[in-house]
Amino acid sequence: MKLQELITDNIIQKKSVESWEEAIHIAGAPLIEKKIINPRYLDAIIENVHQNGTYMVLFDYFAIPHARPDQGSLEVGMSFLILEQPVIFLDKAVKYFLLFSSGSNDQHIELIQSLGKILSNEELVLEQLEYAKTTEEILNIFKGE
Amino acid sequence: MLKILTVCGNGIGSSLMAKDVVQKICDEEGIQASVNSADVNSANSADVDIAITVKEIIPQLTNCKNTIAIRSYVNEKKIKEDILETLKKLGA
Repeated sequence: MKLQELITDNIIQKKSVESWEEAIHIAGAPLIEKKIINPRYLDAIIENVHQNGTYMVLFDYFAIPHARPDQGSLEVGMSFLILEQPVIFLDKAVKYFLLFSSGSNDQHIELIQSLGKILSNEELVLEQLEYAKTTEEILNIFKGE
Repeated sequence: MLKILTVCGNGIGSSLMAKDVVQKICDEEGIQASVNSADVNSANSADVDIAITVKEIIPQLTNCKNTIAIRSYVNEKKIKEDILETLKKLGA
């Protein structure tokens, strides 16, 4: 499964949200609906943030919320919430929430590796996200090699 | 051979991305290293030479003899600036 295919039906664009917790719930909703994660997976993500801080904000505006597979995740999944206005995520401002899940500790490894390669060019990714409006334009960013 | 661990809260996302970057830097710089990724708990009980993570996580690594704080899990340039000097010293 490729990044693009995983994200395709799970892109949400919103003007703003009230809180980062709300952002996590909105981002995770498509995965709950598709039974890729249980609702408790989102609680685990929020708990993970409280415990470990916002290390999952990889760079300005861009976060990859996730928890462990044994915390309510059934299979590999990815969803993407794009906000027009950033929300305060504890100590950081975030507009992009790329939420992912995995059914085991290794099912998602290749996906995360290709995602890492794409995100290694943070300036480019942020610029592309700024201008991407359609689903196709958004997916193009995650095309990779 | 340096045993290096990249660390994040769950050991399955950010640290996995950093693992590839750190391995690449070591290979390019001729530093003999094996790099793995882990969550905080496993890192504290692992037998490694260096644990690499972001500053938010560093205080939780109470049982690792050497730690390096990186500013990014994905930006190769920043990671290289943050780790290279220490790795060369420890790998020598």
